[in-house]
Amino acid sequence: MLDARVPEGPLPEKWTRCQFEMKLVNPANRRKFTVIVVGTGLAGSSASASLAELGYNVKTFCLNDTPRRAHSIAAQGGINAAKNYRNDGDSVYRLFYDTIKGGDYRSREANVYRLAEISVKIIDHCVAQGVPFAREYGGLLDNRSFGGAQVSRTFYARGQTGQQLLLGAYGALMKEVKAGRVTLFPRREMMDLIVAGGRAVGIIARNLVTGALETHMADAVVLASGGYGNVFFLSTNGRSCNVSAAWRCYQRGAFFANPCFTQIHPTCIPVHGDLQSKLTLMSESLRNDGRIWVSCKPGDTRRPNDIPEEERYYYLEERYPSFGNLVPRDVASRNAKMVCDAGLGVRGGNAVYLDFRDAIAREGVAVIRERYGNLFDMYERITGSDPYKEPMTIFPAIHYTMGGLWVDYHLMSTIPGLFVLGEANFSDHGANRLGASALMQGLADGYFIIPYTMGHYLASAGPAKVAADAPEAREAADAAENRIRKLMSIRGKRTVNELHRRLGLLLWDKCGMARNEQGLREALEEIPAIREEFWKNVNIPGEPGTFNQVLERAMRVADFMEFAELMVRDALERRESCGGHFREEFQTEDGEALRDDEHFAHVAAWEYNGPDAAPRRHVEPLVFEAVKPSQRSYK
Amino acid sequence: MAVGTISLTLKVWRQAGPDQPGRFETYRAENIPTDVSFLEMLDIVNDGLEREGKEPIAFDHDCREGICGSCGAVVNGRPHGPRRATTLCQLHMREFRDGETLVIEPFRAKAFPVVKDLVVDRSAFDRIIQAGGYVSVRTGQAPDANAIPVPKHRAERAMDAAQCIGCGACVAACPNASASLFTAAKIVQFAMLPQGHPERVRRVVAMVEAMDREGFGSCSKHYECEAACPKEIKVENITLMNREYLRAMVRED
Amino acid sequence: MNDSFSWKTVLASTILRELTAAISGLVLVLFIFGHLAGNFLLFLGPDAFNGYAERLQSLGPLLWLARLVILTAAVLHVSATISLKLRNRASRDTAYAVTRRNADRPLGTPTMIYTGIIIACFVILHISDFTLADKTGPRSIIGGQSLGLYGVVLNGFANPLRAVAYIVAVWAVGLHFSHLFSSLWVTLGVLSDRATRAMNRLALAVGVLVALGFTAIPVFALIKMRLLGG
Ligand SMILES: Cc1cc2nc3c(=O)[nH]c(=O)nc-3n(C[C@H](O)[C@H](O)[C@H](O)COP(=O)(O)OP(=O)(O)OC[C@H]3O[C@@H](n4cnc5c(N)ncnc54)[C@H](O)[C@@H]3O)c2cc1C
Ligand code: SF4
Ligand code: FES
Repeated sequence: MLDARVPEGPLPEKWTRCQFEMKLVNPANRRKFTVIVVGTGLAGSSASASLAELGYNVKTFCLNDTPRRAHSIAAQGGINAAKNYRNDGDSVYRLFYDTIKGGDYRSREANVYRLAEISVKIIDHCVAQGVPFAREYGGLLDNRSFGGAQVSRTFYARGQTGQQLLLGAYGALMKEVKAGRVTLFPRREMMDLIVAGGRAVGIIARNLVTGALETHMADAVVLASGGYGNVFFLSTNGRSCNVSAAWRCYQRGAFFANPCFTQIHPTCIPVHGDLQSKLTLMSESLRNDGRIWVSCKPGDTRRPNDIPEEERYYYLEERYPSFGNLVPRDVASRNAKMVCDAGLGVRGGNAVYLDFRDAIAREGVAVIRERYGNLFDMYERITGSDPYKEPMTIFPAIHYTMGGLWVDYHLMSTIPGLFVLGEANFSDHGANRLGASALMQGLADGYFIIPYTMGHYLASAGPAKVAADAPEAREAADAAENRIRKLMSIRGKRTVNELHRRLGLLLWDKCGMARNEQGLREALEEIPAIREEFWKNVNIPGEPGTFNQVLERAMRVADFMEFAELMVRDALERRESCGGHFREEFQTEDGEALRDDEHFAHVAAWEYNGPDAAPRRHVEPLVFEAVKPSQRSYK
Repeated sequence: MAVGTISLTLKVWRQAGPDQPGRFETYRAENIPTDVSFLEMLDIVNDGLEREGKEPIAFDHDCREGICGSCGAVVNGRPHGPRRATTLCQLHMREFRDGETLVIEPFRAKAFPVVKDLVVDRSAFDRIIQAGGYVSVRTGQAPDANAIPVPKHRAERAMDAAQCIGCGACVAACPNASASLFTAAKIVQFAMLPQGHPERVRRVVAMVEAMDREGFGSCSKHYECEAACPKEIKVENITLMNREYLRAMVRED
Repeated sequence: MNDSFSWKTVLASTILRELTAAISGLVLVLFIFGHLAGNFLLFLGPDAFNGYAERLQSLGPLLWLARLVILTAAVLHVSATISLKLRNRASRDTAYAVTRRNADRPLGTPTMIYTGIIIACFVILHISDFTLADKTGPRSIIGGQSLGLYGVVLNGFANPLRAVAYIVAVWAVGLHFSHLFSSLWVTLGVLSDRATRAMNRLALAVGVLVALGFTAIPVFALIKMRLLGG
């Protein structure tokens, strides 16, 4: 029953053919259509701007005080594009191939191919917007190799690529606000999706300043609300990242795909104590020059510089001679966990060294400073230790979520008229995302896909013509209001953070870097208990009709409490290891992820069945015509 | 890493809403580990308040890694606190001494009305950008990315300016509450790049007009903005903005 | 960006007002320097000084033109700076509980309004004292003989109170000028960052130099009248 609407024809022709076959909306009629966009990250901002440029009437929502602060701003490393400017053998096909393989053969070929195809246009567009990418002395764009790619296809703007791309998209959005085609709703939280006549026709939003609930109607809704990494409490995500918007859509009938596919980033600053509020990523580009090692002696308390060379275990270089420190994220992370579990971590704890001594000796301090200066400064600010003199300590942390709402080739969910872009959809990254590919995907979705597929939808479905006082809209508004009232009336003893942390720790233990059946079953038992405690005993001071940050957090955590169960359930059902999903029962002899293509070469898409029934698992089989799945090997 | 703890007295500005009067409240922050960030210190204080059923101190924050520009407050007369080139979320408590008293106020400017406690409304910045902080290119129009070479040093200078995170510390620090540094940074980014040139006259005039309309003060060269800026945006940008402005007056292109 | 270039917008902008303040300030400063250079003739005795004053007077219409320019500059300077000052004060409606200066700036910058007010008062005093003085009247007589404007000036400064008031005022001019000297380059958008910062470092010294130059005149008069007896 899941129809991905993948066009016919050979891979390289699918998108062109699809573009041609899609219906168009007459330019004069476009302003009669209203499109709601939730989120102003790369996906949401680019979608809002591009749709408005076409002439649609766009209403754009975000949580922050300004669209420019969406979490995409934090991306550091870069954005991929198959430009082959380096003449090193890159091509659309290679980017496609790498992404499929990197995703451990759990993504849809047609989508990934389109992504690789579009990647080149993204760079063109961003440069035209004035994004100050790094350049070479000849004045042309610089590239670097990133996250284990063997070609240099990553474009970057110092360590602030996400920021610069987002500011480009934000500028485009501001241009359209000025032109009157986009109306901006900052500090608004989407509380529910309004579905009427079988299609998405609006949202309920809460004004975070006044607490007022607002009903906004439209002809289609675009959800670009980002990823759900914060379900783990500690992650590299911004504090406002949440699953709530997607979760509401799920409860209204959108399928949730592969929720257990979460990515752990190998190079984050280790947790320093239980008062910590978030984890900080150190760009993966550091692995280009830094060497990762631990002491051979368990629980070694010597300072790193006092540990002699022969007592250092460069475990990635030894185990993966051809990729060395540049193995994909999931492999690097798992190996860090393995050495730490064996007691070899820094002082026996959860951290490994990332050492620039040799790079500094080889290239000189100046070169290293030019490449990584801002990252080194950041590290020093946070830890108080100087990476020019002493190795950094790093440890994996939750970073990205490949899972998300299921979408077809048109990026439409199972609810007609609800489109999902960026990290919020289950995306093109399969079971593991390659570095520098999320920015690419968000912008591909927003700039170059949704403008076409939205037109096709609106031309086919026509205007929604549902009024803001329709029963469906009122029901959604009442549901939101009731949820708030219920939360506010608990007035218990536990803080929101405390309960969120409890949930996060549980998930990190049982559904984090490595999972097993027993742990997952335990988690399935424990989550409802924490959730019950939450609904019985959480305390939210203040009033709902005001600027109330605790209430905001509480609502998001409440949704995480429900979502967590789905994530664990998905992890339990997927009896194989693939990419970021590592089931200890399914590994090769040397501890690599062991896929089961016969039974699990599919997308798992979950359907909500009401609060009291288990969700139903649907399957979208993945067919590999171009690339034959093989055991990933980075040896 | 051995970690010490410190205890502080906080005098924090509390204000229930834009039209409500505000006042300072005093709180104790006891046994704060020196390796937590300033915002985590506020989290700890807030945790205590929440447990007592009191409303926690409202403050804006999101990325907590110095890039989104959400956070910011004035600590003992310094926007983003005492450490150079550091946002409040990246400021760590090892910068403070045991027993210190910290006066924590919101960024103050007429154009940044207080929303609640330390949270202010900086939407004026969005309106400045709306006036022209972009290149008017439509999706689909762009030539090949390498069609127009940009000398490396100009790209670097554009990037220096483009690093602005829109936090508003420059306004908070300026005795005139001027938004010149913020506005200039965006103007200079595009003035450095060929992509920005077709619109440079209209851009500078429109953005400066927007900045004035929002009620920010003028630049009388106190250099306080630069001292407070977490991204080390330099006053040089204001020089270049003024140059762009003069250029606009003599050359209409 | 729909708005096209409009002079109305440009004329109302704060940047243009800052520019007006700076350029009119510059005109005033150039005038003051010229004035100072002329006044140094005081050291050469009554003939040189009075001759210079008379030659100035004989310029007739040109003198009036110069006066017009100076007057316009003064009016523009005062109106631009006052309007900016009012605007800048209004741009922060609630004051900080703790204020501190974190940029290390020459003293001139934060004291502009005070030095400006001192200078305005001083100019009025100065004009009534000398420009409008009867150059052959009782105030020009030294040792029983009218020495013209030279006499008026020397007699004027023989009063230590007045001399001190003058000295205070010219130090205000020096400080005021030091700010102009450091900020001008930013306002005009002319110098590179390095050069601008170099000017900043020089500014205070330049201001002191100007103040010292002006101080020399009342001190000279005082010494001459008090110690050397005229
Ligand atoms: C530290 C870090 C570094 C990274 N580095 C890289 C990199 O180098 N290269 C790369 O390719 N990728 C990188 N990524 C991943 C990448 O940044 C993200 O996947 C991507 O930016 C997500 O973009 P988005 O537009 O989907 O969502 P976001 O940018 O997360 O935007 C979500 C938007 O939705 C809004 N929103 C959310 N919920 C609601 C709601 N309920 N109501 C209203 N609005 C809502 C938010 O306000 C926000 O505007 C990095 C991620 C992190 C955390
Ligand atoms: S110029 Fe600096 S202080 Fe001002 S908004 Fe930008 S980053 Fe913040
Ligand atoms: S919270 Fe993002 S900059 Fe401080």
